[in-house]
Amino acid sequence: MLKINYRILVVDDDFEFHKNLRLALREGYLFEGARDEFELRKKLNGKDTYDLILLDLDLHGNEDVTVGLNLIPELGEKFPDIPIIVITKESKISVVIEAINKGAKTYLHKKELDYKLWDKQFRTIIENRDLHKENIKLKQETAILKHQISQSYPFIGETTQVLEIKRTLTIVSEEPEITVLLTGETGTGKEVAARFLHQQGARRDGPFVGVNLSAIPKEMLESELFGHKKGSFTNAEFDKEGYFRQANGGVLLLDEIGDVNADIQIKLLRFLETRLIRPIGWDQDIQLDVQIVTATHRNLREEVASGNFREDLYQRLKAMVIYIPALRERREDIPLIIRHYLKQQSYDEQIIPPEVMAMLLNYHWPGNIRELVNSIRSMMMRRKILNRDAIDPECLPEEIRAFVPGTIVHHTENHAPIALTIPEGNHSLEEQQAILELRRIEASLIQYNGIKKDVAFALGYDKAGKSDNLNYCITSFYSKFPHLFSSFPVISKKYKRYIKPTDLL
Amino acid sequence: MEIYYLTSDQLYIRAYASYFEAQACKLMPYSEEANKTDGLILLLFSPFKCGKIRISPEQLWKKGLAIQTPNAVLLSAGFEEIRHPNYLDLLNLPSRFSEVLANSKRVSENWQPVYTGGIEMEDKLTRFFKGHGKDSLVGELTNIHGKISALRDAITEWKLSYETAAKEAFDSGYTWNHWAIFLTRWSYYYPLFQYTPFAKTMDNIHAAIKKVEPFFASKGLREELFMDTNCAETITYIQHTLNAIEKTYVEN
Repeated sequence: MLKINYRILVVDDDFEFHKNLRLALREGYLFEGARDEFELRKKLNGKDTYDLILLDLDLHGNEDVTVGLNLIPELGEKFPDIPIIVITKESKISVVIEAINKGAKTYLHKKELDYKLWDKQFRTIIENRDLHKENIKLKQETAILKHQISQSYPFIGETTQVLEIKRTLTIVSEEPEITVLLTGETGTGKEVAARFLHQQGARRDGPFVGVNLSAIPKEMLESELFGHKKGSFTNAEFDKEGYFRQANGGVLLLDEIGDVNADIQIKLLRFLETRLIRPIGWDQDIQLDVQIVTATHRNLREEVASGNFREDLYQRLKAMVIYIPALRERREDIPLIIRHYLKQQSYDEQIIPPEVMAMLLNYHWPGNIRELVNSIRSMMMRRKILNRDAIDPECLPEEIRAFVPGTIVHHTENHAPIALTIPEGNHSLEEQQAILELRRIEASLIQYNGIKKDVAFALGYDKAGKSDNLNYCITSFYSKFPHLFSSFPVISKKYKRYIKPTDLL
Repeated sequence: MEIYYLTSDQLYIRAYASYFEAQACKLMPYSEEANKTDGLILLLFSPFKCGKIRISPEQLWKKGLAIQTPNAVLLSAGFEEIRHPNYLDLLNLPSRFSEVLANSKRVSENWQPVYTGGIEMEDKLTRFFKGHGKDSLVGELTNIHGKISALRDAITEWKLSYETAAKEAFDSGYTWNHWAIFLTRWSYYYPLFQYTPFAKTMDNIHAAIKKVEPFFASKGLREELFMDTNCAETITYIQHTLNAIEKTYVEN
């Protein structure tokens, strides 16, 4: 078998020793020689790289090993990738121990010379070095990959709701045992939120495993989650690890938890209570260290009430509930999200003119961020097909084009759309921002049955500072743009103390 | 009771045989076989004559027997006026030899053998191995071993012809110098080892040296001598055997 040619730097004042090595190990190695520490440094600082240094401790042939011993840490520091083997005629074990303590990988006695054995030693040490380097490289690649994955699932948003969610997730991530329930409409970014939690917290170096439970056939769900032993049922031809074991030491996202049947619910409950699972066909339990994050678009409280979901499991899951708002509840984030995906595909944001952006902002996005991202892709594709320099309304998907301008639609909790009229005409940028914010407040007042405190909490206006106060916000808008309030009847009604009916024209 | 002895002068045996017979002891010449005897008693008539010099090898014997037969009793016998539980003053023999044996210490115990006036062989052995620094006898042999092993591997592993490999190996001519120095030193030291615990091993090494000597005398020109004498293996044997002696008697 052809051997790789490794480069070895032999540091020894005995030239015959260099020659002997070249003669005995003439294939597989390229030997370079240095007779003393000065030649050694010169060689190492030159162009060539070496796989191994063979260092004679008695470099000056006067039985003084101090020079050789002192070279070891110096070389280790400057050339950490080059392993050092100490060569000695001296049998003193204390010298050998000192050399190894200073960083030599091993030692070889000239008196016990056996070139075949030395060959093996050289290769073992060089290959171990290579493995070590490979390991470091793999770790770096894994870190890069993790970073790329996190970039693929960015939690974009600067609205007060999103900032508050991020803050909450960061705090929760420091508690690696707590179970988190993410709620919100489909496409709002529940998996992104789960990944954000994983990346922030104590389990960031562990795996992240996401499973959409509704996508797995019911009869296979137990096996997919908990694993199985070969032969434990028909078609079980191999042992299966299962998602729980894959996520050991990390985070397991169970998406669409509201869709699982009663049997799986019992097993999930058992895990949450005991941290034990039992794969199918096993006769013993396995202890795991997994943080569970669940997500659902269903109202679990209603599922419990209707008998479809176990009360005890629900109680376990709702230790920390985080609501991920729909995109239409945080329209200010739409330009940010669009900008992010345009940048990802190396497009200038100017490619979307203001009128198209306005249409995108006004659309109600029932499919939330998922729909927005797909729409961006679709727009870019249509732009190419239509051979346009910039995106124009024709590039937009049909449903966005067909959406009636001047009408915004809000979805209530049961997804019934509510149309709200907005003032027509040209508006300044500040005025447009006011309209967007008033829309949010109007929608939230409807959603929270007009309870201002809940709206303030949901929209992040519950902080002590005056600028964050919901009342202040509305009165501030009213003082500047009183004419807008005719389009926001719920706000006008709830804040009639401040808003005069005469302005609602 | 059998008492094994080692002497450089059989006159001692003839002179003192009657004393030991009277003590119900039988004097037997020592050989390595005797190490198998449980409760070995070894009597060294010391110092030993080696040509014109006298040597005292007690320290080496104590080390050697302690490894091989730890219950052995090592006695020195001579004409020094020394009082020591393991010394027999031949000019003042005890009336009851059994009392000497009863009071003597076993080789495994911690005690110092008497100095009987010859060259201290433990020091001599250290000088044999370590003297002359890197140009010591073992240093010279290490150089020869490195060269001859490389030559052998070049021929067997890399299928070089003997002529090509030998040319590359011996072009500087240093090997013959190393061999000459090694041989000179060996010739000086070898006779001194005949009354040591490893005398037989040294005889074997001597035979091995003699075996490969013609190859070195030919300065590597005769391939058949390299092959027929198993030169590389023989040098390896010499090197490893000397290393073992050094480890046991010098470094221990």
